[in-house]
Amino acid sequence: MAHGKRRGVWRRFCRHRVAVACLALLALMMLLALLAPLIAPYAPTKPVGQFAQPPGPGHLLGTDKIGRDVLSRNLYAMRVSLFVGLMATLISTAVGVLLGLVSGWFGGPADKAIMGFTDMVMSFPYILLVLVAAAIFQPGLKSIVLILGFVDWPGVARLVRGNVLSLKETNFAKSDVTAGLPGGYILFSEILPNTIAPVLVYATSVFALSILDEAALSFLGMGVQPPTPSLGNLLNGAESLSVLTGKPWLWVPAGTTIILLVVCINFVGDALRDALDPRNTE
Amino acid sequence: MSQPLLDIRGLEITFGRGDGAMTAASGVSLAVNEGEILSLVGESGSGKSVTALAVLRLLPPQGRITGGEIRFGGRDLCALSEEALDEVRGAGIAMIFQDVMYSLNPVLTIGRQMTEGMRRHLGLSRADAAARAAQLLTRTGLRDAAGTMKKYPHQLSGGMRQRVMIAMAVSCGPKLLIADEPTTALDVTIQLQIMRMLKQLRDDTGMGILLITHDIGLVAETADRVAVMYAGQCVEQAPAEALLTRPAHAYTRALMRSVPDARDHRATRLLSIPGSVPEDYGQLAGCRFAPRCPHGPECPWRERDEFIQAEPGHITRCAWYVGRADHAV
Repeated sequence: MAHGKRRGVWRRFCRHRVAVACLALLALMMLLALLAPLIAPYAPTKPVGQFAQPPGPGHLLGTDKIGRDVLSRNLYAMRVSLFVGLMATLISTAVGVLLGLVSGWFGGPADKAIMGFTDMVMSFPYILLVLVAAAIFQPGLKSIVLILGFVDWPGVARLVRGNVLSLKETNFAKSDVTAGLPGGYILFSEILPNTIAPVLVYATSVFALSILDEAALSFLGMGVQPPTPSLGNLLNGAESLSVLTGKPWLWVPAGTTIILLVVCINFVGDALRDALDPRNTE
Repeated sequence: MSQPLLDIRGLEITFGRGDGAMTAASGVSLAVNEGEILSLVGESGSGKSVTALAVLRLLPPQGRITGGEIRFGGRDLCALSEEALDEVRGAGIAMIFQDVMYSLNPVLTIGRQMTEGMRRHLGLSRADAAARAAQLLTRTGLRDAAGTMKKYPHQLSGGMRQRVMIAMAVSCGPKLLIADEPTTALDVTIQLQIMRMLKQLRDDTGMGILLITHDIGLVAETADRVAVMYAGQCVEQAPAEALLTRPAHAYTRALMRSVPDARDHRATRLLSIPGSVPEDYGQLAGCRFAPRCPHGPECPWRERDEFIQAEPGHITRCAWYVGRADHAV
């Protein structure tokens, strides 16, 4: 009856109307990003028109200061930003889940070492760590994914560790031990599925954060490197006052996209938390 | 007489270290024979669950076995490696826990949870394990075994869950089943059904059962032999019939007087034993029940706590009802 259970989750999710709208919008944006090569009117990195042309019939969102089509660049930027966010979330969640499981299950010295390391990473000034790392490694798509993946896992690790600590005291975990089942099986097949829901909810907020962090890093020039467009380095063009006041088409679309993405992801995460909570039945 | 299946001798369990150390069991000796149901009775804090957990080496981290030995099928469980122990657990000894709510994993189907152990310990294929699981579930009195196996724990009632637990526990054909208050969370009619089923399983398979309970009524219904625990000690052991009709320890007598009787219309107050189990009972010398015993002040034997034989097969640490303190065993 896994099917029935899933339907219940979906029904509870649907009670959050805003979240459903956000999910639809998010799906649309992901689709646009995914299909960017097909629907973008121009190549994102080549000058295709006059410099700094305002929005008009030829270029719906105008062109930038070296004549590239802003709409095409935004579509590709969304693709890059979503990719970075998704990959960073996957990496940090995987690392966090693994360390949390090990830490909570084995306890003792392993737990102390892992949690000490977690606290260390958490207490480090976040943006500084990212900037230093970005400066040391060659800035670029790959390194920003790895950097963000590395700084976001401690929250997941703590969450999972806490869950494992309480789950391993439950009778089903104990009866697995008395049934002589190996630790690996108990940990991954019995305990892990019980922590998926909170991890999933947490991962949505990590996703939103990663998108913001990528934007911040790229804005500072330490993230995705031009000419590859990302939502952050599109905003970078708005650093000068004349652009900010006189050429809004260069930064408003990218800024709006970031806000929409982050807001939508957070709303979906909130609704997901309510929907996955088994106590939340009607 | 052949060797007992489970042979606990002089078991001592300590919690904590140094000054804060507490003895949870001292000198507990028990034996469970094949095909026998031994009931371990005692109130909360008497050390019965801890004794059972020690058999499976499942004591919480602060607890340690500090003396004695636990022999199962001739092997000392205290000396086994974790790997060797995993073979004994499940296929040799299985356990049923008290709380039926969290004894099953909420996110896995019953079928999945039941077959895992069989596939590992008995080397069955997925289909064979499923067939055996369905057969076991039917034997525990579940009508729709195939349907139950597709369900999740929250879709079952408490009684059904406990049946599933028992089916799961016996699935690998254990020689010994430890049942720690298996029916406490269930209502009385279900209790009786579960107990009859356990007896039936014992008759069918010849396994030994160590039944832990605080319910004297269950003992009367089920057990072959009874061991009464008080303050970390085993204070009386006897065949069930002898213990229920001729209890020889002041504590056992008090325990039996505190069972409510529905046929007693005089509506008297329920009798209870004054006081509670002393907390740090490891330090007590002499009879541990003396402070709460109705005969405590006048008992000439309160300084001693060795076993004496009340009748063949019936031993007790209390000399009051036997009327003598010789015949030590």
